[in-house]
Amino acid sequence: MNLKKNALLTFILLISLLAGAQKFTVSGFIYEKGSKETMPGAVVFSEALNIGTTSNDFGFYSITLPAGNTKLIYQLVGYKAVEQAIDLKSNMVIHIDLENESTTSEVVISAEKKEKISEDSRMSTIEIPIDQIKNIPALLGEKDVLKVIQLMPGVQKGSEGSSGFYVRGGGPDQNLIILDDATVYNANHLFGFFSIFNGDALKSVELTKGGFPARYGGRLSSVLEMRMKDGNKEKLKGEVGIGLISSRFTIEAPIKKGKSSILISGRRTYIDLLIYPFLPADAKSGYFFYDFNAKYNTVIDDKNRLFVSGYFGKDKFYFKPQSNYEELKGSFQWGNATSTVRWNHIFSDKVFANTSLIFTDYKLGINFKESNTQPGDSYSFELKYRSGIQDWGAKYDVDYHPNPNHYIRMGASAIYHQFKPSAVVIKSSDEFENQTSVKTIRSYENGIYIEDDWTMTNKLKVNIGLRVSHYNNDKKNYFKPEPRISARYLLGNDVAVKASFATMNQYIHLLSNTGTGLPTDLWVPATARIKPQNSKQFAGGIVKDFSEKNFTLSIEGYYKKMNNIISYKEGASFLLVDDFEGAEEINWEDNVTDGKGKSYGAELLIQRKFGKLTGWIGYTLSWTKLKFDKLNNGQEYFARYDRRHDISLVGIYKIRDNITLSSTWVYGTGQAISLPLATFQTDPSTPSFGQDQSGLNNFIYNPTGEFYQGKNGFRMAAYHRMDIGVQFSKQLKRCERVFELSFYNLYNRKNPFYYFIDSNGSRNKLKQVSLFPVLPSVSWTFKF
Amino acid sequence: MKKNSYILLVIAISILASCTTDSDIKVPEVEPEVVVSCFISPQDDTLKAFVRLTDPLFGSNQVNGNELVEGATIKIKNGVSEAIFTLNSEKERYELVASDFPINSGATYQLEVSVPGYDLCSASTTVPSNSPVFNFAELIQLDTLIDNEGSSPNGNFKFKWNDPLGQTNYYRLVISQKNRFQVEPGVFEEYYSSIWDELIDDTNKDGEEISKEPNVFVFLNNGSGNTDPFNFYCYLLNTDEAYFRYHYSVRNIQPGNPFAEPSIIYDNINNGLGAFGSSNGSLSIIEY
Repeated sequence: MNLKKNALLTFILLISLLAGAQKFTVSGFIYEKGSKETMPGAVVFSEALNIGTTSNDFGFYSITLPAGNTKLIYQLVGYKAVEQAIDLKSNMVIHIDLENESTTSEVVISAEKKEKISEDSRMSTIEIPIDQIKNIPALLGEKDVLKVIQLMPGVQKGSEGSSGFYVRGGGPDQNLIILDDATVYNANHLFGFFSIFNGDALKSVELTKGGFPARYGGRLSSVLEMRMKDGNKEKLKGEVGIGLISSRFTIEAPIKKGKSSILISGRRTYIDLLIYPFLPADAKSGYFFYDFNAKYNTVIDDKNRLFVSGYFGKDKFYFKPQSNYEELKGSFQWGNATSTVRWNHIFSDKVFANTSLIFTDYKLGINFKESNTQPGDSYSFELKYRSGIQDWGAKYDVDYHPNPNHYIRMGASAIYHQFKPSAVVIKSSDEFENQTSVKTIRSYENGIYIEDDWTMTNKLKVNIGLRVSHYNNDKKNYFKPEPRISARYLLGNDVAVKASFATMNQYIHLLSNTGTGLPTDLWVPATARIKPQNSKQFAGGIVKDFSEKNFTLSIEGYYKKMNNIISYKEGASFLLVDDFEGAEEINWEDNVTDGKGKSYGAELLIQRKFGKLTGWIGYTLSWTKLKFDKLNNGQEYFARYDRRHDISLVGIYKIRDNITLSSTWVYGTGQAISLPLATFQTDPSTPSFGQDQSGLNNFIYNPTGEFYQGKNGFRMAAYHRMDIGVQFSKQLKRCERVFELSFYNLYNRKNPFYYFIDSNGSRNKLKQVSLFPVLPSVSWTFKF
Repeated sequence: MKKNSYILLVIAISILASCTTDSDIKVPEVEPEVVVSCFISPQDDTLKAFVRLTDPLFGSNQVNGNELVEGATIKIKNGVSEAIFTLNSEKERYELVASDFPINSGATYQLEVSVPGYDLCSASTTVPSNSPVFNFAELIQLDTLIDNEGSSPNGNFKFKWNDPLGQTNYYRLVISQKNRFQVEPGVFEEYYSSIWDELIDDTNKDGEEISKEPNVFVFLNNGSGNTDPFNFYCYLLNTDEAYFRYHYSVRNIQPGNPFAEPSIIYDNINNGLGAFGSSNGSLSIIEY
């Protein structure tokens, strides 16, 4: 009897335990109300259970909770929070629409915001709201994502006006810039003065500087991930902008309401069109750039979605002087094209998969044609030069949410690279000049990864992962494991300490003399001789959320070591590589040398993403040193973009609903350059072995040497600048009009672009060239 | 292409450039410094040295950096004995006959240079003990046929030598062609043309046989009536690091190219610039 009673009691206990442990999953998509745009990075949490998750890149979330009544809160910065009471008895699918705060007049309880950096296990990650990018004053009124990125701590800009950026001592080639999963190889228009990204078409921008999760690979220093908007699925929306040098438009519209939509966005400069008629006939020339984004997306069914997106952009200089007999025309053009097809598939409420097919292409081209039709003196000459890189890639990523303590991501990717360092075709009436020289280098880059965002205890959360990368060029194969870990430990009351370690490998290199993002910079592959670049980065820091005041504070320190980075050898120049006359003879591998680099420093960021006053204060203290056996006689030297101090202040203040004031101020230590201080004649020796070989010096001559205080031993003057802007918006009958007036370089600081030595007169003088004085600009935007 | 991209860049920059002003940044004003160049070898019959001054670009102390400093005293020592170079004004250099002060493989030498008004400059070098010899040195073939007008075909040379294991070795490979030209009927004058000059280190080749195959223009016009064979003097030098790095940095100077990486000239002279280095080598003459 006792035995029976005990067995019954045990059974009841087991049942009750099982019932108590019974859990169900709530999953679904988070959308923007009014557009059905999916919302990545939204927080979903249960306050009572202290369990939360975030939506993935496609707005999908999955959270497993104990059965019973609970309340889920859905939140995203800039959107009104939604509370959803649920009685969890089985797995549920709940799609949520979040309403943009700017479209609601209700009071938003911002104190409850749960998107806290102290909660996140990741570090060294910066997310910039697109609205802030659109509010920050810009050069000639051209809003620029990359220039806003440059205002963040840990990110340095290159030279004046350039969109190139340097993250924690890494070169511009070490930034992985991805637009809807497609790599963008040259992100610049007009030699770097403008970036190719049209903010109107973007949904989100996120920069990772360190503590890289295993899903990212292929670059050493940063990942800049940009996602295009999907397009409004509810109604036709548009935006037209008219600026000083360019105009732009964005149209988004549903194809099938609530199911599918399309977005088209474009931009073109028009200085060439305006001035072309006024140029004399023998000097017809011009420059323009344009870019074009398009995206189509459709919800096939509850479990399947399809996205097709593309980008196409081009820069072109051209000249076409007119003459009776002579025809002369030429152009210099470069451009990117990317396209991505992505298919989301929900295997279950816990398993989400995305398959991407990716194409990306970067091309630089030079065309020159000259012909003379004059009788008796006819000739023709035609040159075509091409260089570029083209990728075909496939990617498969799976998100798996087994329980609230684990968020597992795994996947694989494969890229087929085709490099074309130079292709020259010359056609001439003189048949001896005809030549064709085309060289294509093919390589394969693959990777598999797994990572887990693991809540180990209430205080400790880690993101642990491993990526294994593989690369093949010709007969050479590289296999590299890349362990990654980042962790946060809550100290209490919104304060956390964080630490991370990441190993990265990079299988392609950018050959650049200037580092300013010139289109002539050349992408080249790792080979048996030129090894892949790799880095190890440690970072640690402390973060605090000031929830009542709506701002966050982050202080981080980092140490990064880089190996096998490449540089042109001393005396080498990109012009040599581009020289078609020597295209066959010059092997780029002979022109480069490999070395090491290290960077360390500390970064401070105080950021406020929402409220009447938003913006940030950033400060970076850093050192970046390079060491190449064949540069600077093997001695360590400061990188050109080494910047001891870098400060940025960004403020956006909404005076009234229809007036927004914005201002930025930046300060940076001057760039490190090599400035000759003296000259002298060199006297190399010639072997003679007792024979006085007069005339032998015709190969090794005695060039004039220059005395430097070491390579990059001289500092340019410090850079500082203030920009301000004011936006007035007005609701018209059918649309909203925004007028913007801005001033670039408000106090007309003459920042040095470069120096030269002026030897006119009795004494040499150091002269500086400055680019932009105070530049006012106006623009109009119409939104409907 | 070179011209085009340069022009376009200049156009782009000049469109955007707003102004040129005197820089308000303080430029370091340097004093002239003594520059010494001296490279010694057991194979030389005359040791040569050059002493010059740097020409500061900024400030009031500008001098002519091309002229030889004539009042210098150059002393070379080997720990036991010493000798002083003498000025050869005609050849614009300081000289020392090697038989008066033999240079030996593996020995260490100090150089002291005093110039009135400047600190004493000094440096030392250890002559490489290994004198490399070619295992193989040949002119394999000429790419084009020789015609009577005297073409300049490409010559394919091939050289091989052994690299000693366990030490960093620096080499210089020079091919010099001995030519003759007819100054008047039946009278010929000889001259030498350096047609190849390469600096090589043994990175990734330590202890292995090093092979080089220069493909270079050769001059095959001896002048009418001359039937002498063509002589190619092939020098293989094992150099010390200072010799190698100095010559490497000088070779990398690209005057007039604003986009080229600047070349920092190597120096190992205390209280001055320039280099004191040494080499040890062998010569192989190829007749064609």
